[in-house]
Amino acid sequence: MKARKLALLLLPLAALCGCGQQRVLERLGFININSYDLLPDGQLKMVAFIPKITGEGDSQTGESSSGQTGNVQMSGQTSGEVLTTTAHSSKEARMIQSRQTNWELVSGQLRNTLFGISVAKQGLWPYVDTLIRDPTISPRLKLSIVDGEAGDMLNKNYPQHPGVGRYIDRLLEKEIQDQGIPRVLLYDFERDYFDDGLDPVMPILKDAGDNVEISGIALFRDDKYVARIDSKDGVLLHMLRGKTRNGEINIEAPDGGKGLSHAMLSSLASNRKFKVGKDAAGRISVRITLDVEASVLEYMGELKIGDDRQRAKLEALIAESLKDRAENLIDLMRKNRADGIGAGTAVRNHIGYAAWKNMNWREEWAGAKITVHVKMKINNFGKFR
Amino acid sequence: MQEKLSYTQALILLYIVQAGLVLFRFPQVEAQYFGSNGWSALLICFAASTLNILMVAGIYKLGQGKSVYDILERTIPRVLLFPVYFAVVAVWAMMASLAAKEYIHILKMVAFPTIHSSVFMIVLGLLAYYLYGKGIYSISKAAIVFLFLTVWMTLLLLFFFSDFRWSRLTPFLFREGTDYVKGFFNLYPAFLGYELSLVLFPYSDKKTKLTQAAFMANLYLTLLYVYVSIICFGVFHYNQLKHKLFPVLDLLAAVKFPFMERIENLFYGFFLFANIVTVAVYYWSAVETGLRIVPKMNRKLLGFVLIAAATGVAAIPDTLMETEEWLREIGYAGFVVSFGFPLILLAVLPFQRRKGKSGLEST
Repeated sequence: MKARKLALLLLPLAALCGCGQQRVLERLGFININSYDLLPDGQLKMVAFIPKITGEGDSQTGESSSGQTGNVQMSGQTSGEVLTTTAHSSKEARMIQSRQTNWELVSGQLRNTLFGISVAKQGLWPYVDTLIRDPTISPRLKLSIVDGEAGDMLNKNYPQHPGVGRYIDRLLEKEIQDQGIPRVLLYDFERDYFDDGLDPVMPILKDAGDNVEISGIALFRDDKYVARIDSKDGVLLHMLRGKTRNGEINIEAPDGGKGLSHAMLSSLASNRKFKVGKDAAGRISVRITLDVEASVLEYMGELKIGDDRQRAKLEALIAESLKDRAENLIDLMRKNRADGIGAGTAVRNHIGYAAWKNMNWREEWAGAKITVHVKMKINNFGKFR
Repeated sequence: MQEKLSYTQALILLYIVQAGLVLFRFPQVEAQYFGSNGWSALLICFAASTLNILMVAGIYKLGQGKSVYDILERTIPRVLLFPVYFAVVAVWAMMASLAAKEYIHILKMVAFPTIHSSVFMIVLGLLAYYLYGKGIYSISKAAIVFLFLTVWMTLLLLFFFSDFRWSRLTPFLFREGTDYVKGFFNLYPAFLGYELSLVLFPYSDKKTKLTQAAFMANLYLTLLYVYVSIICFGVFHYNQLKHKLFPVLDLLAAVKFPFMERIENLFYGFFLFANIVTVAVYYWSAVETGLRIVPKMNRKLLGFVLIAAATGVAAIPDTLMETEEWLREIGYAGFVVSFGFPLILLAVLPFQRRKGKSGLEST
């Protein structure tokens, strides 16, 4: 009985633990997108966007009530609050931002982080390191680069798309789903950074007036931005990096000397295989095979896709075009000493540990013989012969 | 008649006790000390723990299921045994309190960074005390319920099917590791817990098949560890794993349902159940041993004193790093106990058989 009474006395203690650190939902400011830019004086310009809890449908067309206090600028905008700060580190910026708002700022709902191209050229690792370290930040945070100043994108009002955080998040989500860009979550970037046979990539966003546009994909050497590929090659990069299940790509192929034909490959599924060997000179050679299946619902050219023979010819033309484009893409990577497709992992796993460690893969990659072979199969061409 | 543990109860109890410690960080230990394909080191630990369980099986057979303390005290004077008992009590009680402390440090890090850990330590100590007070049968029954509260989480790792790449595992074995011996001793505490079956002898009979239960628990545990580790090595790169303090928590954090994400804190909450069983059973075993030093002391009072003392000592390391350091040290001590205690028993038992036979002949 005594023990039971003691338990009754102590139970409230257990329950009261919950009062130690309260988080009242109504008082929290959930940052859902933020950005990093590097200023000429070496300081960081950080912008955080806090969506308004009243929701998407809210049509408050607020004038930017910018109140400049020190180096912090706040503005009330459609569907959210934007906080702009300059600081030496991201956490310092958060502290300054916190002093400028009535919300208690939290990062638990942070879905997207944008890096200005200036930061990406210097190297992202110091910023990514902080993001990984913070247990309140999700490993599923999406990372992107902005062509220009990332902060400007968050400060801008896109009247057609209220709530810039949600707009960018959904835009990226959809493109990842359609495999137009590779998925780059915080833990994807971290892993590719640590993998010695692969370099990270990242989507590039661009302000296109009334909209935000995915303008390309950035190639990295370790954590530094070195080059970009065009967004039309996004699916191709996806195909070269691994399995693709639902891609879409436009192909231009020469059409019997009369000009270019256009074919739109949809529901594209592809498998990639590496075969590592050595060429006559004893250098590493990698043969990349892409096994592609797709349906062609739009074709503008001389060939008749309903005809088996002519369709086979079209398949060969498409394969040739894909091969050329893939080789160009790889050449760009090699020129920049960035292995964004992970050929290094295949080489590493093939040649053995000692040989791999003795090899400078970046240099080897630039000079190695890389060939692409495409097996193309049109699995249907719609409901019209 | 005293109720005996059933086979399933013993199996689940030992399995949960083993899984309650270092579950969140063992892939990091594998990557740090063994490097590429560090998960294979689990097989070495499995072999060592199986050998240890065979020793326990030998003791059970040779001693005909008698209490290990009775076996020792028949040959060695009790006074001489006191230091051994003291050491065992201290190690098991500290393993319990430090396991609780580590759980709390992680909880603090992910959810309550500003609350003092002693508040949680007191609450967890009380929970452990009440569970301990119910005795080993009730603990084993609770363990079955707690198993169902946690075991479903292994299915969550199927979520990583699309992220997993065999190529990331690399064909290299134990490259870029640091110190294999140190690694073994740091990884081995993940297996500790089966040695408590020594204390369970009087609570089991032939139907319990105690040593078989210990072996199966160890086997299931190894399979779970291998499964979790391979997923960690195929989803993360081993160089990345080296830097991750709690890779299993990171995996859980990356799980996303169509309707919800960021629920790792909820998942982590469920692990409290596994942790509390580990803690309570280690305390219970420590008290069983302690009662041999002070046989007249009230069991509950001794339990309370011991839990309070161990909780007090565990309050000394105040950072996560210090706690981990202490846990590492106590892990080494736990290893010594898990092999040393059975070795003493195996050294003593042959004499007793001879004595027993001659005793039989003389009557």
